[in-house]
Amino acid sequence: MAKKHLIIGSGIAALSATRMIRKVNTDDEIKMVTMEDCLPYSPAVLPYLISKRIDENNISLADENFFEKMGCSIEKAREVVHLRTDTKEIVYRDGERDSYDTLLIASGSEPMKPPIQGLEEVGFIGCHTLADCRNIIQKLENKKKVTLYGAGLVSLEIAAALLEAGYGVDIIARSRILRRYFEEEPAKIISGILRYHGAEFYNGKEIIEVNRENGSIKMELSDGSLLASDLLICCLGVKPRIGFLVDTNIKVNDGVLVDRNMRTNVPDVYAAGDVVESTDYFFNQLGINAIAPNAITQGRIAGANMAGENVADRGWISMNVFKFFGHTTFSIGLPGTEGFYTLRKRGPEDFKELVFKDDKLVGARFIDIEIDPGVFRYLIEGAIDVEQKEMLFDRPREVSLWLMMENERGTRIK
Amino acid sequence: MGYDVLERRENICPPGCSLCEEACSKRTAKMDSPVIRHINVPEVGYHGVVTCTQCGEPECMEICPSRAILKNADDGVVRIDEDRCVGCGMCTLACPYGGLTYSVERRKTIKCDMCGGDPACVKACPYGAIDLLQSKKIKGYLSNQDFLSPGTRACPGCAAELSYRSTLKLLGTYKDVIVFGCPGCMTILMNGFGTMPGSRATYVSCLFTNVFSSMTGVYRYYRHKGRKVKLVAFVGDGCVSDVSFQTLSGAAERGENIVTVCYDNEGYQNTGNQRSSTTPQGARTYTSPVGITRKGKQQNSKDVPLIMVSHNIPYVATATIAYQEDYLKKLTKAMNVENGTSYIHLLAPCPPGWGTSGDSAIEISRLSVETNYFPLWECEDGKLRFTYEPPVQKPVKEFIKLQGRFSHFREKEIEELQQSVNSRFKHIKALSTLG
Repeated sequence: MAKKHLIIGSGIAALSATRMIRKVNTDDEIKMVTMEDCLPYSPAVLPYLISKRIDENNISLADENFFEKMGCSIEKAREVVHLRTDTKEIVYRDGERDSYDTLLIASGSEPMKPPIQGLEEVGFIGCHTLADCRNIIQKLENKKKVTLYGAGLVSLEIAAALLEAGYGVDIIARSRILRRYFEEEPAKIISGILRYHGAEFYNGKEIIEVNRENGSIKMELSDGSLLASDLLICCLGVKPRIGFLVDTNIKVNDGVLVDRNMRTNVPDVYAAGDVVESTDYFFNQLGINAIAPNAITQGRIAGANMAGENVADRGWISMNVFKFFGHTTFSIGLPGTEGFYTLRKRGPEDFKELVFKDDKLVGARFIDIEIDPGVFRYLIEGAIDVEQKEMLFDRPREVSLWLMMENERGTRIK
Repeated sequence: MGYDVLERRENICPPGCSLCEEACSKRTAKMDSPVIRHINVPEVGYHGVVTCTQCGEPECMEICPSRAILKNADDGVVRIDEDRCVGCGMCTLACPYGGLTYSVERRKTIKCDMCGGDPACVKACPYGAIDLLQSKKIKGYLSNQDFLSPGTRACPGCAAELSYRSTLKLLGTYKDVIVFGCPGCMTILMNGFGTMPGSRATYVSCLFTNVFSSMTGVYRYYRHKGRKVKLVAFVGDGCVSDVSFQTLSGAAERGENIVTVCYDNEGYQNTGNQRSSTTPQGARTYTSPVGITRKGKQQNSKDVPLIMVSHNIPYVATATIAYQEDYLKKLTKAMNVENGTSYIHLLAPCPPGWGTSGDSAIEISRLSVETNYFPLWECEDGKLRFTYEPPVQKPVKEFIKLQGRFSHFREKEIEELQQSVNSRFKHIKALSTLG
């Protein structure tokens, strides 16, 4: 009998799940519900809207054709406020209900709001939705200086976009930049490049209080110093959007808890993407990894299981790429802390680091070195034996490709 | 349907060669970074090239936040729309095969678009390291239907089964075809099993000894009735080279208009791997065991296709399923012969009989050609020509090392087999120069 799959959210995880459900099963009904009033888009594209590298008309991840081809209906601008897992129903804000046979929670994430005194009056501005982005673009008109609170990837992407457009940019980091992806030394290379292009950094500081004076925003930092700027954008990371799950029996911690099959504790309810809290690849530790590659993998796995297959994830790995001003950075896996065999080299303008546990690669970081990030991801995810560690370190691009090719053929010469 | 793909062969590029990269960077009017890149790791003796594999479900497409990457449904090529690409590089994180290149100058990702179906790198490589596999062309030869019954009763990894399947798909595009067979491996796919028919082809099951005389009778009956039919025998090497050789030779000499495809698995594999006259010298079979005094088959093998050339029939060819387009071309030619017998000798590695792994039949077929053990040629109206010549001849050791039936071979035996392969190849080469 044909089932009805309901998907809350329309991001990358939701779309991957849709593709997978349709691949496994051609008869089932698929319905997507999103609170956005536009076609699906990825938050990753928003900084490029600010830098005007792309037009707002071109950011949709899927067009009407996609939904027609997939036989999937999409309901826009509907917010889900509650789930009734006993009767298998979702409840919309207007009180209407919708039933499901299997449900995928892919509601994504929302920006974290910092506890700053006076922020309500000045107005919180994040950069996570298209509406946020439109707001920023509108507010940027006739402004000169922007302050970014937070120094994660999104913040730096916006910084690069703004610097390119000729704005002055101050970046306030509570600890330091890209803490999740780089250690202090390589992070300094990145901040050095941004500084060269005009950014100012305030590391290890927090904003205590903000207020508006004569059109500009005055900020008091934790060390007592004062800063002024025309616009304050907060990019302090994201947290899973799980507000609507409060009074349900679905287990949540910081995010929706799932097993490696993307199942929640309630039968027929799955979750994937930024909303999920799941175990990682290396240590089986719970955590949130709100990145696009993760959303695709989890979406595919959830979709397959919803359609009746039985597949499991390997667990998430932290990774990302950051490209700015023609520079490229890439980080994946574990940092080179004690207990690992780490090869590290800092050149005048570049950096490379490989982290091994026994013969397996468990982490890699590169700045301005030509490599294929996906191939390193392949080596780590596939737990490929690497005996030629120094060779891989010397010529990372060629040797990583060779290891990948040998492994793909299954005839690895050891 | 079916898409053309770039095939890359490893370890045949000479070290330091970058002709493909140079050609690739000239693919557009303005010089650009190449999107095919060579990998040279001399420490391990590796040299190959990487470029996009045009995946079926590209993850780069799913991850692209601006939907700049799309797979074209018509030609299967994954393309990047440069106007939409924001240069975030997420796609390079998604691709595990190194298929995407980030261009620092343009701040965009660039990738192989197969040069619109005529790749510059293929033309630039004189070594055959990059090849365009035209599956679209292959599909063009074949009917969309599969004529074999669901499920197969052949051994896992059987090359003859694969060959028979595509043979029937090609024959399915002709009208009034009757397939002839005899006891052998393919009997189970032809006769069927129990109450289940083996295929949807019209099929005549003959005795081992009289396939071609039966065909003669059936052909003449239809000729008498004024109906045009095509008779195709799909029989093994035991039938062709030993048991029914006389009837084949007779039919060829009389010029009967029949097509014969011999799937040569170099032994009586259906009955448990006994030697046939096409079993190579030295190979272990059930009736040519390896012991203290005897080491495999003592005699050299019979070169049946050359014997058929000596019959002066209109069409003789050799083929393997590893070069499928080549085989289908040849079978089409054979089917279109009107004035006599045509004969195709198809090498079909047998995993249980040859002692190979079940997934190696195609690789072994390919190696048989690349080592000149089984050269691909055709002889049309007395003119012999090679249809594929490997750019570099691999040592025959590469071919035999994958097979258990040669596991007792030492340097001496390998050298003897190499000599025999070389001298046979020289012979055919000489024939090909006669014009």
